[in-house]
Amino acid sequence: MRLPNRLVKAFDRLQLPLHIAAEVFGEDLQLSLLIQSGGLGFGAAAAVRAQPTPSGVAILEVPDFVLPATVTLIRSVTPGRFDPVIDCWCATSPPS
Amino acid sequence: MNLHDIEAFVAVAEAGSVNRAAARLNLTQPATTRRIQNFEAAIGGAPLFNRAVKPAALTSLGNHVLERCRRVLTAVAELEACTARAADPAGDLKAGVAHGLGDMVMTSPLDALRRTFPRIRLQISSNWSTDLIEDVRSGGLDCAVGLLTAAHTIPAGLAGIALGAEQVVIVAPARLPAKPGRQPWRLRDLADKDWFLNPPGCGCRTAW
Repeated sequence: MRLPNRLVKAFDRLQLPLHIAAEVFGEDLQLSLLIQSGGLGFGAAAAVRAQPTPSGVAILEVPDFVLPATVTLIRSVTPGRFDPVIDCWCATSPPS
Repeated sequence: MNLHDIEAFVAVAEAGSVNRAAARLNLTQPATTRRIQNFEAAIGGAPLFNRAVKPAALTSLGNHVLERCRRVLTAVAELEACTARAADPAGDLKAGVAHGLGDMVMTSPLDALRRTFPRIRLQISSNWSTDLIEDVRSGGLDCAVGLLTAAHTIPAGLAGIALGAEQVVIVAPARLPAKPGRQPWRLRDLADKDWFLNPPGCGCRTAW
């Protein structure tokens, strides 16, 4: 996952260095490197929990680093021909 | 003057390049260029882009025309939304899903959408949330599902509909040994760990 400013700021506050082993574009490759090399990364909690077992990754509970997020559907406010489809998508999305 | 040419003009103006506009329109680059040329001919032959600079920039006439073209496309979209055919739309719906959310947000809606709207063909791509917002804003996507934190803002002209609460978590290899005494990890404990993250220059360092 991308580097949240929150992480940089949190390490700055603690006056600790942040060791970036690799900056990798692409989530699959990031997780693969993480599993093989023993590093850390980011993920959406539900997505990590939904991984097949054993997936090789686990959530690390870190109470002093909590980053709430919202799964959000983004659409134009201008009415369009796909509105019924997008409305259906919203209505059938499972609550996370 | 036809609507496809207007769409091509707006796409090139917004995307900043014929190649990116062609991808957005599902056209080849020469076909997109032809539409721009057709449109320029239709409005009297005056250039809408200054092709002497790289990348080509809108001329003052181009800027003037762009605003009016956007209004035309908005009016057409509104018209389409209130016609009888709107109940059973057809065509390619371009949707984006944030990296890592695919299975979670797609599985149930995909079945329902295919059943309810058989004439819709979904084109689904995956990207980071900030890029998805920009793609919806620019018209490259019809909608997207992102994982938004407090760092994200939704620009004017777009709406965000919350589908559910989530949490961004730190992910570690499953074999990472537990902390002595099974105490919870603190951020300070992770100072000696290596992180695998996205490059800072890829468009979004403020949030992912």
